[in-house]
Amino acid sequence: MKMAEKEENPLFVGISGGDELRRGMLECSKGILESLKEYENFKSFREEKLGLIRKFRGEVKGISKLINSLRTCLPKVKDVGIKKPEVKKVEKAEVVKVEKPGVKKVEKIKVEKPKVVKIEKPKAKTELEKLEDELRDIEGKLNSLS
Amino acid sequence: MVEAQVFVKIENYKDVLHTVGLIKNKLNEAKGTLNKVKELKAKEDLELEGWNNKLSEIESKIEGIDHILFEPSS
Repeated sequence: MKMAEKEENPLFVGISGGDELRRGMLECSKGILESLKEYENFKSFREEKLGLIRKFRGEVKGISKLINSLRTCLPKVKDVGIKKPEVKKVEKAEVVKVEKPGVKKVEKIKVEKPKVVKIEKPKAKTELEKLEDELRDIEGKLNSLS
Repeated sequence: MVEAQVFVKIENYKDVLHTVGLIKNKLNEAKGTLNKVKELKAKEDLELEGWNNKLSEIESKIEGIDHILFEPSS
């Protein structure tokens, strides 16, 4: 209001091509509105895509479960293919047995126990870490087979 | 190393066949879903390309408007 009162003798700038200017402005507005309209389409595509990705994830999990159940159906041939690791396990077991009778050696066993605790800590792993562990386990099995 | 022969109980064998069938079905479903995701991604990319073109168009129009506004009539 005050501004209007102050502007008693306003100055004007003549603009050539007023129609062109108006047309340009309207076309810009039209373009922006069209973009907003397309954004709505984009949003619906994205929502649909996210839904499908969720569905895909569920399907992959289902496949994983089925493969696990398949593994349980099949007999364990691990003992047949992997002979070398068994020998290592036996060696370790023997070492433990030797250490137990000695009093001083018991301390050594106690040192080994915290190591086991350290292994237990990562049990609170993320989904990604669990999958990585599973992958490593399977890769190890595959390597032992070949 | 001699490979040992593996024997599976007949009931388990039936289960195995059934499970393999289920896995095949699930895999087909997953493939279908993934194809749909790909289609939607292509649509999204098309939309983004459209936006890019539209913005360039608007940019050139604003340039024109700017040009008109900075050349006042005498």
